[in-house]
Amino acid sequence: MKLPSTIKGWFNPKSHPDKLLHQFAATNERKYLSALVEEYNQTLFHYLLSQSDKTIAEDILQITWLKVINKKHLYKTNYSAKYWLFAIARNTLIDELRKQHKWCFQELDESHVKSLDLTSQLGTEQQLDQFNIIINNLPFYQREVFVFQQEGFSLKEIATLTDENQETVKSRLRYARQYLRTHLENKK
Amino acid sequence: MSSPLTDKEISELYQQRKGQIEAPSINIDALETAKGEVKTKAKSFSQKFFIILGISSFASFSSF
Repeated sequence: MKLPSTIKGWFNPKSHPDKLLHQFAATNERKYLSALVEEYNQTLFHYLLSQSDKTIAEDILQITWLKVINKKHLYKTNYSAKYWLFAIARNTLIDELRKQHKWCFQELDESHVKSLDLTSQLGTEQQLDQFNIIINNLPFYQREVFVFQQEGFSLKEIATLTDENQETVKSRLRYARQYLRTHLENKK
Repeated sequence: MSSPLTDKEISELYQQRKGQIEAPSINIDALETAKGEVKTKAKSFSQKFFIILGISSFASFSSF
């Protein structure tokens, strides 16, 4: 059974992501970085892929981890490791998108979709396809705040991550949820 | 009959979407190497910059 990182941390404080990053910054030992990569690589890549395309997402993911190595001494314990990693990934992505003048994005690339047997989940496959299309149709900033909220960030954290005020974040979230609800219906 | 999705159902779909994506594996050794290369590139760029600056200032002073 896979336990969420927070619960894992209760049983083994050493494995808590914040401590891992702190220990990596203090010791530069590879095992801490490996544990962080294992914990957040998928999550970061999902965010990057949601906000860009396959090529950019792959590049930014590499650069993000490279920046973690290079800037580990700048990590402050008043932020969670997850917040810090997302902040690096987001800033790097925005810089790259500005550089490339890319502010419209393609759909989820099929090459990144694992060949899971989703047909065993009745009705889910179609709904998930629909969900992916709807998510991709959301404007950049609405999609972003939606992803951040789903990743467990608070309104305050999303506001600081995106450099916006909380009212703007709330409004973007409301539009995103409204759009999702309008276009996704539960077949009962 | 259809009804709007609840927050919980939306979160479940989100987790499924996330689970579908296969992230590229990160080679930490390669990153360590790249770290060195980035430094090297930055160094060579700054070196080039100062060389060009030096030549241009020499050229502008020598013209007087």
